[in-house]
Amino acid sequence: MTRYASTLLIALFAGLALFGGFNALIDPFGITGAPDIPGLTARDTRLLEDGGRVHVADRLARGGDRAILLGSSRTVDGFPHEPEHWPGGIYNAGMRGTNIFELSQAAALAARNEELRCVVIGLDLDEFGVHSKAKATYWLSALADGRRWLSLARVSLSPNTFGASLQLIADNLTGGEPRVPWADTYPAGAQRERYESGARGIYSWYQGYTFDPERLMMFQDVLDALTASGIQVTGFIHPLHAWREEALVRSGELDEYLAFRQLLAETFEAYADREPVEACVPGGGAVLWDFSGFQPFARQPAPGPEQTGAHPAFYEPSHYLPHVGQAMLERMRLERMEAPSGTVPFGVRLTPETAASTADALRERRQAWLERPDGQAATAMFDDLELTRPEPEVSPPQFLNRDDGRSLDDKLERIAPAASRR
Amino acid sequence: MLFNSFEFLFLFLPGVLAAYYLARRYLSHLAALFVLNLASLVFYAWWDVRNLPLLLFSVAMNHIVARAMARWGNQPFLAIGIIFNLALLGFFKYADFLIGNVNALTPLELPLLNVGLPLAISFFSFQQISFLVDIARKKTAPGHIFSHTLFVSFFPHIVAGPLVQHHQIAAQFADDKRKDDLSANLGIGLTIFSIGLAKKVLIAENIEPFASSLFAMAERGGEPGLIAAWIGAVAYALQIFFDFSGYSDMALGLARCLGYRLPVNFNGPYKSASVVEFWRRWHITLSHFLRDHLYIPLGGNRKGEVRRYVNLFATMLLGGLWHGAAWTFVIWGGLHGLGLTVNHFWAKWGPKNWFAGRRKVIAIGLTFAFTTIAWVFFRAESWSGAGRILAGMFGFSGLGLDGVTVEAIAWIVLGLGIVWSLPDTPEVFSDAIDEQTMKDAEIRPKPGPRWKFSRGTAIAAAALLFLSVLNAWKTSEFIYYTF
Repeated sequence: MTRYASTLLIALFAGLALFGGFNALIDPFGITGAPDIPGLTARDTRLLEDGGRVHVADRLARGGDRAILLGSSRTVDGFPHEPEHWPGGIYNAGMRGTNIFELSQAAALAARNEELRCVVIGLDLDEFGVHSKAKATYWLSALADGRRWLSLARVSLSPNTFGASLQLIADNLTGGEPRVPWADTYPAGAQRERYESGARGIYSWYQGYTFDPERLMMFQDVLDALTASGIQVTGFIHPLHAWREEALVRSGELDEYLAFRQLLAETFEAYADREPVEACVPGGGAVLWDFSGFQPFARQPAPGPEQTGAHPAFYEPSHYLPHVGQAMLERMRLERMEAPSGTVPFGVRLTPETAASTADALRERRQAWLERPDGQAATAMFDDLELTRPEPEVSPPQFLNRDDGRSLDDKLERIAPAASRR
Repeated sequence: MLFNSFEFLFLFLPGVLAAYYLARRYLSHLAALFVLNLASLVFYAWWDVRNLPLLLFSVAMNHIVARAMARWGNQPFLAIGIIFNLALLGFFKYADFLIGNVNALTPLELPLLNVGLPLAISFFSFQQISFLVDIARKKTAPGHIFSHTLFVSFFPHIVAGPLVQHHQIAAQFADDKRKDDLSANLGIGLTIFSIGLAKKVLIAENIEPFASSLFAMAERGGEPGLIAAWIGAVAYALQIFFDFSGYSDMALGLARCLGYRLPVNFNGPYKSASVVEFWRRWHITLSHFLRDHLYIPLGGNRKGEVRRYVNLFATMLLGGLWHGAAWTFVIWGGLHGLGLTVNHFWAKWGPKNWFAGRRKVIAIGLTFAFTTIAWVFFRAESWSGAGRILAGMFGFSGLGLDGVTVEAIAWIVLGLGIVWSLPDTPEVFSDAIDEQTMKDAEIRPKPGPRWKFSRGTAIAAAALLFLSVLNAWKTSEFIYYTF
């Protein structure tokens, strides 16, 4: 039995040490502080992928930022990685494929940092659906339990990290990148195809979309706790290209969207009167902006069939360019009036009152766009699509459970010490 | 602190093992028991330190009552002790349930107490009752307060069992002449622990989303069709088995790492060919508790057939209520009471040996289907949610392929393949588990594969543990932690 026990223990600990040591050394998510190995790990090609939330969570857990910008891939790609003209700086903490569950955890985690003054958070109907809850790497990150040292252990002993480590080494050896970066020029027709296929896909996706009110309640808990501790929370609804917004309308989700917008405005309004320790944007403890709804810069025509030059405002219907994001930050902070396309209006402060009136304006802007050639082209495409009766894209719903609520409550409970020093 | 969490695996467990064995070797057995006591209390307090005084209060009160019984006779101290434990459980677990029902049935609007459920109160209250009854029956003595505290709080079993009877473990704690076979303890203990951890982390955690998805959807008004409902319900049946039996294996393995034996709690329950057999294989220690402390005192089968069925039904209703303060648990218990009654009725009046031979497969299938249907009430948060799922399972909501994925089917096939084709942990390790433990669980191992302690199997166990640790990052609670 001695030989059995010693073999078991030696095999186990040797395996764990080798596996963990390899991952910690390669450090694809940039959290262990291991030195770069020239030619092997020097290029951090995985930091902006799904595993990027590990890196983001590590930085949020360490603290030190006065302002953070949270959101999905629209935030990752739609804002400069180091946004300018923001006093004290703002950290782009966007995470690809995220949703309000992860974003709430991230905001609660960051709020433990007494230096934090402002949270700017990009929101969308997408993030409140039941189709997803958290990426696999969420459970590795400090977002899961708020503990950095445990996150380090989990990351080191994770097959996800091992996969990312191998990919990082391969990227460094071959000069590759995890995804083709957004380009200034494309092959003729490629952009048009991307807009059309993107809009078709999102139409089916919206058809299978289900809003989860429990997620809004979860976010409301975060909003309550953060604003009560003197942090200003500025929410904004992401802009989308008119083709994507039309997909939402044609899938029958416009009323759902407008109701969501109204609910969100009421949620923010409940905490608007709270006094932040140091406001980053004009307004009280909670401020909400809306950049969606067939805004003029989002109604610029989709790329033509032979166009090779990039669209001036959008990579593709769901993702805007960093100069748009930069302009949005300036609009929220300085109430800048010029839109990225040089036209006005550009975004609107959303309150329960303006939500109703701007909904009518949204419908009018849509109607005006539909009468243009670009709107007519989109209409023809959706008409053709509906003739094929596309199946709604449905996946097993993922609802929040007791563990999810408790992990957030644990983080919110730990805000208090920082709040008293803020 | 969960058994599958990193803080337990890499800090708590190695620390406790080292401290315990060092204390045994260089200090004394009492010092080692002190280490275990302290570690167990830290383990319990890790969840919520506010619950610790309640646990210690329960231990102190029961110890005083036990000493009084030993000195002055059973009554009225036994009654006082049982009332005290039931009152504690009733106040923390059932007060709001009772108030809610009173409010629903009368115009009264009594405020809820919202006291919160202290972790493991159901388990330690039952253990204390069994302790007092054992004292009354002269099966055990109160012993040292250290030993009593450890009997209740011993970290491998405090949170979700197995329900240990005092005489099963007190003698082990009191045995200061015991020899530590460290290699055997760690070799056997870690191997059983690795099987349990793999059940939880590699299987239960992966099946859980398919069950949760169905039940959450039904709670929110969704009406699953036939296939989707069965897939979700079977997923839950598999999840709860792999989760709870995994936990029980881990408890056994952890105790064994320290050289102690805990009772076996599971023995392939889904292989049962009747509901009676199911309860001999599922949560065995609870079945024994209910039999010894409820069914038999109620009269058992000694007062005629009708009374027997009434006793069975009452026992199972209360067994259901023990799991949670909700009518869905009572219905679950009631269904099992009904199932046991029908079983006994069939055994007496039905054709003899009709389910013998090849037809046993039908009996196993029917028993599994019955327990799966009953699990719907166990898992559902409301009547309406359970109703929608059952409507789907009985074909009232169409065929229902929405949300049915190949992945879900694959996991269910794998899970059913394991529970129906492989022996459960006690049988596989029957050569390493002592005779008394197997006898207590009424397990007579059938011929089949056994774990051989060779270099190859050591590497296999290490690989299983390695894989489980690598996948233990998503540490959701064990289902029975909520009871």
